[in-house]
Amino acid sequence: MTCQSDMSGRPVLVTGAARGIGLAIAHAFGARGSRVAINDRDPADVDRAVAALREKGSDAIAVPGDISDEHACAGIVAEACDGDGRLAVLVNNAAIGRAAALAGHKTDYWRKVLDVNLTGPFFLARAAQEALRQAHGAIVNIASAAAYGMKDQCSYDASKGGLISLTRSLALEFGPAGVRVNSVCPGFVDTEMLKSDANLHRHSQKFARSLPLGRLARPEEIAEAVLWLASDDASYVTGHALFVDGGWIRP
Amino acid sequence: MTITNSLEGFTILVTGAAGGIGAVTARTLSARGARLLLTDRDTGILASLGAELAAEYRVADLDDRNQITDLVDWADERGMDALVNNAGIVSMAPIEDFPDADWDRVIEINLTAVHLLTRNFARCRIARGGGGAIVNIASMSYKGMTRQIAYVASKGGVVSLTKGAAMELARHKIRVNAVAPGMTETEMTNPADGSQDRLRLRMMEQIPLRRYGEPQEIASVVAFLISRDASYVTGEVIHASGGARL
Repeated sequence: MTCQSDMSGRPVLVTGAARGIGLAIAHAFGARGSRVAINDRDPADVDRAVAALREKGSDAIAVPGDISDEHACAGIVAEACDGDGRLAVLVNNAAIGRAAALAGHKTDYWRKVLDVNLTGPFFLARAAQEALRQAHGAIVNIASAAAYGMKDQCSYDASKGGLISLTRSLALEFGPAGVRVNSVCPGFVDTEMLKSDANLHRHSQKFARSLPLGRLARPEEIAEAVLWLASDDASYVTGHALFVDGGWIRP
Repeated sequence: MTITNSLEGFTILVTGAAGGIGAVTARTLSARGARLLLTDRDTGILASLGAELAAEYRVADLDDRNQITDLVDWADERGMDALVNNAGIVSMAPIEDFPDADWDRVIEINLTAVHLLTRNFARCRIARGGGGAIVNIASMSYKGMTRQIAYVASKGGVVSLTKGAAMELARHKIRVNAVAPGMTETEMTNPADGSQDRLRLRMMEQIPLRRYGEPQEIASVVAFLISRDASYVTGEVIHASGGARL
């Protein structure tokens, strides 16, 4: 972490922040003095993440809830806002995946993945629009290099492609109000989730050697890009999909 | 909310440093802790900017290949580990009347010189064990723009060059990225005589953020891409266009 910034007291909402990339993003904002609202499904997981941030002296609150539930999203946003009803940054990071070839890709997989990865960010953006306008805030959506296609991940790929399109659409709508909307597209990231599956970890490390940069990303490298897009340093950047993928896709 | 991507420890060569975006970029990189090496065609602004930033400078013509070699060697002797290819020219004419000489000159400065600077930078860095960053200033006009076909083609070339060089130089720990500015407030787009005012109003309607970008807003993208915060970003072209021409 080489950058310093003044994000003191700014209310930031990060979904899927109990672990992995989301937790790294929460830590990055917390370290810059933001008030980080941590969302994930399981309240106990959220509490652990909040405790981890507080241990580092960061300001964090728990806003557990299921983002695929429209009514839950309204509550999550309300709790994440500051006392004046403002939200400076919404980071749509929560996502799920179901690996299966098309023939075995159950309708239920497809619906669940789209509900969480694409409809959730739509619900949250809609619920937060006024709070973001008040703060001249920013949305950062965590899409994925998989938007360009990964085998046996049709629902995940489609959800992430959709999220890039949602980003562009919202950038057009929010632009005149000075609210910026961008996405970050990570490639393979060396998270606990990846390490927990020995087979997947081996496969991804082998794949990573074929990338220009020849290695997996660290979660912090994704977090720094998110932080930058949310900051005033990216004040003329909106609607962009920033690939943080070690040179993999080069769209 | 501003971020200060620290550039402590970097020594950065900036081409076209006397121009609108170039000078602001040099100031921004300097303010964030980098040591600057400046180059442009004539001494005037370069000398005063050099004094302001306590930066060494060297006059060079980028359509002279020997001068490019000497320039990069000069910068290498001073510890250069990052390069901002900012120098660029534009020539306006409809495609059916576009003069050959203008085409040659625009391609030479905007594309061939970027290749030569990149090549010589890579040679120097590899000889020193690798490591470094290049940021090319492209333009959103790589997606198409009227009455400047050589500029459009040269910037498309810069975008492709960025991706190719990123792939090839990654194993030497050199990252290569680009910024594609949209409409930016400069002497050229906002002259004091107001001659561009009507065009500006029309253009702004097509920009989601409803304003032109400030040179500072391009400079802060350059700073991010050079910094360690972008350590997993290479081959990327960041559009700094206020959302225009997505």
